[in-house]
Amino acid sequence: MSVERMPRPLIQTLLALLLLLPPVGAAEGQLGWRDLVVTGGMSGEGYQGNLPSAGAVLQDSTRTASALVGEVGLRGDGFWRRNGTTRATLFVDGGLRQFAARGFQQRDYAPREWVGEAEVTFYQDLGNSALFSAFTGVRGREVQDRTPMPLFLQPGYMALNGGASLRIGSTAWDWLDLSVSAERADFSAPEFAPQVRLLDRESITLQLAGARGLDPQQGLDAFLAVDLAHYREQETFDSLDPYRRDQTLRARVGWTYRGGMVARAGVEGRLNRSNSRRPEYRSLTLDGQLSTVVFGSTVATAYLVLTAKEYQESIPFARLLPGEEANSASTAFISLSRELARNLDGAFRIGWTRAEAETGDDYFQRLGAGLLLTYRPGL
Amino acid sequence: MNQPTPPHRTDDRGGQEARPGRLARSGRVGRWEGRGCSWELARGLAAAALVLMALFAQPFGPPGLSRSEAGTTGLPGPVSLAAQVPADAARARYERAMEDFRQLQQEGEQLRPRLDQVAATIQNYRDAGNQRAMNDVFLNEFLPRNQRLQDVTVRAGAAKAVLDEARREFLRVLRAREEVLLAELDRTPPPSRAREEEINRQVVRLRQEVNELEREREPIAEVGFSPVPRFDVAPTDGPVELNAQAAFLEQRAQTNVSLIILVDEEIRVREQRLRLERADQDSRVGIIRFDGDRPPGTGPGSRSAAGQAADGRAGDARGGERSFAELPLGEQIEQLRSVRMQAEEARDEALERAAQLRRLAIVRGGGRP
Repeated sequence: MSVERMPRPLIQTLLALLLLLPPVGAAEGQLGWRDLVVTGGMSGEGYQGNLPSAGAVLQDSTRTASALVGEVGLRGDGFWRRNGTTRATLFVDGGLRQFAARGFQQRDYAPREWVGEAEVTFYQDLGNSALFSAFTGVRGREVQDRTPMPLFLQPGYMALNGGASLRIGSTAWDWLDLSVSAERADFSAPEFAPQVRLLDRESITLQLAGARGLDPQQGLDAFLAVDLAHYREQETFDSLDPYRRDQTLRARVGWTYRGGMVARAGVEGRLNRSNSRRPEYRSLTLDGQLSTVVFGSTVATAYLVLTAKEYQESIPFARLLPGEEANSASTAFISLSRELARNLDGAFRIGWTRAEAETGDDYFQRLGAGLLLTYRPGL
Repeated sequence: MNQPTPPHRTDDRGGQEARPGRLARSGRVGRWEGRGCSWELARGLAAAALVLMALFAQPFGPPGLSRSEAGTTGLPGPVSLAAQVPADAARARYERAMEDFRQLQQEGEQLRPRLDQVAATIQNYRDAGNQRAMNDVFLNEFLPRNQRLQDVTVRAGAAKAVLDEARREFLRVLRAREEVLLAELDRTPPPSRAREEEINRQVVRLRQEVNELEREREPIAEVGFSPVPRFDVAPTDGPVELNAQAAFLEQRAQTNVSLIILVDEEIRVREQRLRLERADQDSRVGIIRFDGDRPPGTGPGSRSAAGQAADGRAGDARGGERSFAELPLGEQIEQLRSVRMQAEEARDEALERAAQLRRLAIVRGGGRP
């Protein structure tokens, strides 16, 4: 693909990534990668549930569709260290996913997804018991030849974020972290589907998080957060308060075990209130993850997220926009991975997702299986 | 102690009467002599050059140093520039560096026997079959002490480099000072007798100091991982003594073997944990990377500043010394591999020396007991 044909948000994301990447060899012994991972894989997926979507450009009458998907990705976790202390970290992640979709009535689609993310965080030690950090990041995605439902693909967007946090030691907790962050997301809407811009938003999050070790192998973590979101393209039809504003209260308690296996479990509750009645809801999500060595170097991983959601008021018309269904998605995922060669792992995985479409209590599903190779060069 | 070069009489300005007790450059001839240049002109030019160089040298000196101190930094320059540096400043710098190094050396010397003691305790627990106590001692006592010793070794290496540089500078300053004093003796008109005697005394003191510094160039014992004892075999040592020494070394080797077995197990456990954590991380990233059903920043699995910290990415951003258990798994494994390598070297060295002692015992008339 030529540079001219690359999507503009993607070019912006790539440029931002390049600017944030540490110059190789600029300061020997000071810069390095804690983790660098290259992935590639193939999968087959099936989709079910022909639900209306305001964000979808096209409509198709099929209720089921399938796709063969190929993907490549790169993830890196870099650091800049001075005098043995990490002063900054850089997280980069990017990938390309190519679909060959079948089963639609109108034609066969071949959507292509580009995603990229970079975040740089600076740390400043404030004495023995306080750590200040400031971070800024960019993430973006672009989708070409986007399909109708039920093969839902999140529309392209560019999001910028930044924030700061102060971590302090505490007698009751290992650490407490107070952070404030802000994000602005702009969705790229095709000319004939301007409604996608309804998702544009700005948000501010204030969060108090903490972690406490129970013993050397297990610990608890928790957070309490308030999200204030402003959707500048969504009108409320109230002249005194014309644009949608949401306030979401989130709280989570989690448990982690790191011993002969890695296990995680948590419960997260959300309470959303808005100046628009449609998206007011409360939800509860249970999540768990377990990774264990089953034989030799083979690791089995299971991941499960189950969400229950209840709306404040029953409104018999569309009340969600594509993308907002994330809060009510349920996901199950099982994988078996093993070392194939030095620094090269192979994984077989099966995944299922059930997510809410824009009409409340209507769900579409996705079931897939695939092979993924993971390479960690020189690590 | 070596005596400084004895003063000898000379008259290198042709025709002037040599006076007793005058020190001179050892076998050197003044640069301007024999070329018909006026000595006064040469001195004037040298002084001008000196002032210019002092002016230009300052911006290139390390920050925080005064102009006079900048001359002690090892920057290329004429000896006469170094002569302007007060010897006291160079001496103070050298003494500070020596004190720093000695402190670290002493710390290493205190840590080493403790480490040996802990290694012996591990061996005892291993012999007694007490796996839990053995792991406990290894993780909570051996590794932190070894980490501390490694840290001290690295810092001692850096301190040694600073000390060597400070010594070189101090020597340079002392020699330059000597040059200046000798030049004063050669001056026309010559200095008074009282001044000449004072100069002679100063030169003797300078040369004594130089000799002492030169002697300190001898290698200073380094700190490091529990070295294998080096027995000095006396000509009178018989087979019994030699075999006893060999047995001691073999016991030391066995302690290291136990350590290697223990370290191998710890590495295996951590490699497995790292594999699990990577599988865990890869799975989560695989789910959220393409963000297929999540808007930015929301939904389970989304990242946040606190989330990253919880993942350990901020773990080593905290200053101060961190315990072994606080290090990222990858670094823990690297440290354990380093311990293993050192234990292997110590084991091989102990066995090799024990074998030499056994052979020597046979040569001296005794078989292996």
